[in-house]
Amino acid sequence: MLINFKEVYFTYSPKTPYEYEALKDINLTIKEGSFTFIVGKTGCGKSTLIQQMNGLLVPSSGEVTAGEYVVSSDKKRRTKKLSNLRKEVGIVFQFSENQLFEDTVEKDVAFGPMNFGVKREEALEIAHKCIDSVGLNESYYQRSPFDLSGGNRRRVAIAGILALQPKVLILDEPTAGLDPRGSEEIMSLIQKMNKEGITIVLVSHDMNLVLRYATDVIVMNDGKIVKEATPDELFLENDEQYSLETPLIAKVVKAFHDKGVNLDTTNIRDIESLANEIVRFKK
Amino acid sequence: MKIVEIENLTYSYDGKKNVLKNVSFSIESGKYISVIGHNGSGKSTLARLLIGLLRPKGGSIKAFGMEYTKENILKIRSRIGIVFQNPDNQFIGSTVQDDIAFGLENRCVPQDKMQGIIDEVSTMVDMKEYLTKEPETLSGGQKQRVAIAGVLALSPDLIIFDEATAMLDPKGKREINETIAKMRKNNPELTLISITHDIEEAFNSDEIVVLSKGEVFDIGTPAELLNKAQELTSIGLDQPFLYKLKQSLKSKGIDVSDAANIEELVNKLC
Amino acid sequence: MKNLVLGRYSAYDSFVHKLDPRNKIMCLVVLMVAVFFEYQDYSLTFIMGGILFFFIVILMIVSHISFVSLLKSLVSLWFLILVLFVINVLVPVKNAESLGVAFYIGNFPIYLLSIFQSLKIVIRLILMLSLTLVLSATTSPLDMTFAFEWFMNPLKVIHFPAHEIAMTLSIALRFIPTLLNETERIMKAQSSRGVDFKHGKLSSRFKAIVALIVPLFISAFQRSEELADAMEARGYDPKAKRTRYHIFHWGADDTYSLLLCNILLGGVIYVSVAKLTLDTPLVLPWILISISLLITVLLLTGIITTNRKGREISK
Repeated sequence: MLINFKEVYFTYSPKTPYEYEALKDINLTIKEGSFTFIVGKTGCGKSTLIQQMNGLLVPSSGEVTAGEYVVSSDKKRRTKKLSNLRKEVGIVFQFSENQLFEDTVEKDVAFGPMNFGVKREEALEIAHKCIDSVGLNESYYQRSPFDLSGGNRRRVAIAGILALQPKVLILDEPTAGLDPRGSEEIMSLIQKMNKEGITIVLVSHDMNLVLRYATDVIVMNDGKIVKEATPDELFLENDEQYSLETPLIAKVVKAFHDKGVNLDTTNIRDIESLANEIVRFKK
Repeated sequence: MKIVEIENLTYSYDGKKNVLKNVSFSIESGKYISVIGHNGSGKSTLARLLIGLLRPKGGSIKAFGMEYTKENILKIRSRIGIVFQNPDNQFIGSTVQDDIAFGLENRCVPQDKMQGIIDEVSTMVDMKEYLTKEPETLSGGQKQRVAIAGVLALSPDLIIFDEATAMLDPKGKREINETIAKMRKNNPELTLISITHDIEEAFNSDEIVVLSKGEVFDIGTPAELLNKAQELTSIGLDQPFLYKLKQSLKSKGIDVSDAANIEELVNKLC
Repeated sequence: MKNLVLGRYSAYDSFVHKLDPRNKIMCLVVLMVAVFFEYQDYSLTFIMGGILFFFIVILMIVSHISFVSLLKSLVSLWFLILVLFVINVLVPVKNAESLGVAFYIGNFPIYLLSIFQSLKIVIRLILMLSLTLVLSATTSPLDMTFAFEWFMNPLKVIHFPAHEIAMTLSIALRFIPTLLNETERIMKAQSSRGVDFKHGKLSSRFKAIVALIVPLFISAFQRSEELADAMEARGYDPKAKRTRYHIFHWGADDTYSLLLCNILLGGVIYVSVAKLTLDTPLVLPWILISISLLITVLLLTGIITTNRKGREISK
């Protein structure tokens, strides 16, 4: 499913003293099957942007199209039942473990599909599949989500969105607060879903993740999109950094560049590929 | 001088499963210690025991030569400051200055001395211009700096950072790490314990305590621990970036193991 | 909900803002009492109401409260005001006929007295509303809790936990914005799972509320636990003696303003208790004198505030 932004503006609390323009003239296409990262400083409009993608927020002007759904500032053009869009485009919010409320894991995961009219038995079946696919097994079905560790609660929350069987999955800082092993596991899980054909949109501050996983990167600043690029263009070729943190790998590539050595950056994504590239240069 | 001495410390929340088992180590005054370990390794429990929010189920802790008895606990606590993980849940005052004053009020600091202290510590953490601001107008990094100011106001001998940067964005993390560096420069006597899972951060400290499943897995300087990197990997801990890169190069036949930073590494390779 | 402007504290540096919160609460009580006196005839009732309103208007000007905010709070109460008015007009009062019939609705007589009676009630309501607006717009919630604790101090003798209540109140106030944000976040997260908070059957609405309340409570409990730890780690003990960062400064301004409010109340009591009417000699001069007194006060406070430059404390 293709998501397309056309001249989207968004203002919070219009016509009050708290009026605040969070998005300005957004034109953007999220490619089908891509692993798109949205990056930028806190308060740059990333969270507002993702909420336009499943109709939680409606543009103040302009429109977002997602497949056949139209989220437009113009009421006449807007799709009547926007809530159905949320089945197609799932959002996993930051610290999503806080949204669990049922007494068993399976019931919590089945909650989403049942809201969209799926029968209880069928919803539980979907739930079981999704719990398995986030790396938890059968022994978790009947457990209370509140007895699980933080990392596992987050998996349950992700399974709860996966159970809607969305075509696009949006995640806001899915690794925040997890230890390195926990974030590694969550990220490979997300990568697996991407390989299975789900379009992934991920908001993150961790530039090492961006370099490693992204196919496309959108850089935002002050409510505007300032750059759309592939990760190697962004970190390894370009000198301008859009006040983003530099991934450590990019620092190494830069240090080589300063010495007059230009490594071939197209394949550099992680330490292993960087080492390979250095070996190639030494030969 | 040993500022903290922990011997055979054991703790359990439910009386069945020990979160900490026979933990023993001591901390020299003026050192910067990191405690690392994956989630659930007992790191945060250790912090709560050190500040006296929990009482040991076995073994003992001593701080400043004092046992953690009922009579001593307030005396010990008055010399230890702690900064917790969640910036929102430790902001007690309704403005920055009220929050810094909270600890001073508890310690019965005379009212006419407060403003001077508040001005001094807020300058130290670069929050002087924000004294009258309310917490909801501040970023996570700013709130954590206020928490540090609140701790500094009581001039403690030991400060514990309990994953104080875990919920912050990179800018907030950088701000806190800069503040910590500045604090150490201003007061070399200050002892710091940083509980963290940021491996790059931990390898900047004087000594690292590695916890695994409630037990001390290893203690040593960053250099000593790097020699046992394989073992760290076996308990699911990461290694610093530079070390991993050097290892990867080594396995491909390039040995640059004596490079101390990225510049040196690149210089050696070119 | 976050954008609720009405009755909200706005940080200015005005004469009224600077007054001691204890004094402001006392003045409010004094003026509220003044609102509730009965007079011999209705023309006097309306004139006295007018004087009080005039006084409140001065307060509003001095403390930078826009009339729009008063109008807005009145508009939000228009239905209540209307119902009050209609009911009072229709309900028969004692000696209703004394002033004669104003008009007939069909065969039903509407007495002038009933209309006056209803007007009086509406005027009192408006006066009270604007008084509270002045207090809440010029006194920070925290100052309010401090003042509350001070007023409750005598009750400590009977072990009334004044300090604990004030501390609880101030923490609750501090966490209102945080919890509102949290509520919004959870609502959005559950909406993404297909929850419809606005439409739907009763049973699904109930489920929607559960999906909001349970996570909200769990996170609130967790917050309070962490907060308690943080407070204890920083040496807080509700039973122990503490010093105060905020101390009240009872200034000359406070004495004058409290005196002024009491003079106003005294005048009201005199007019009411002495059963004066508009025909009583000296009543008109008295009213004229008090109005000119108020104008002088207005000018004086105007001069004071311009000298002190009522600057806005920017957020």
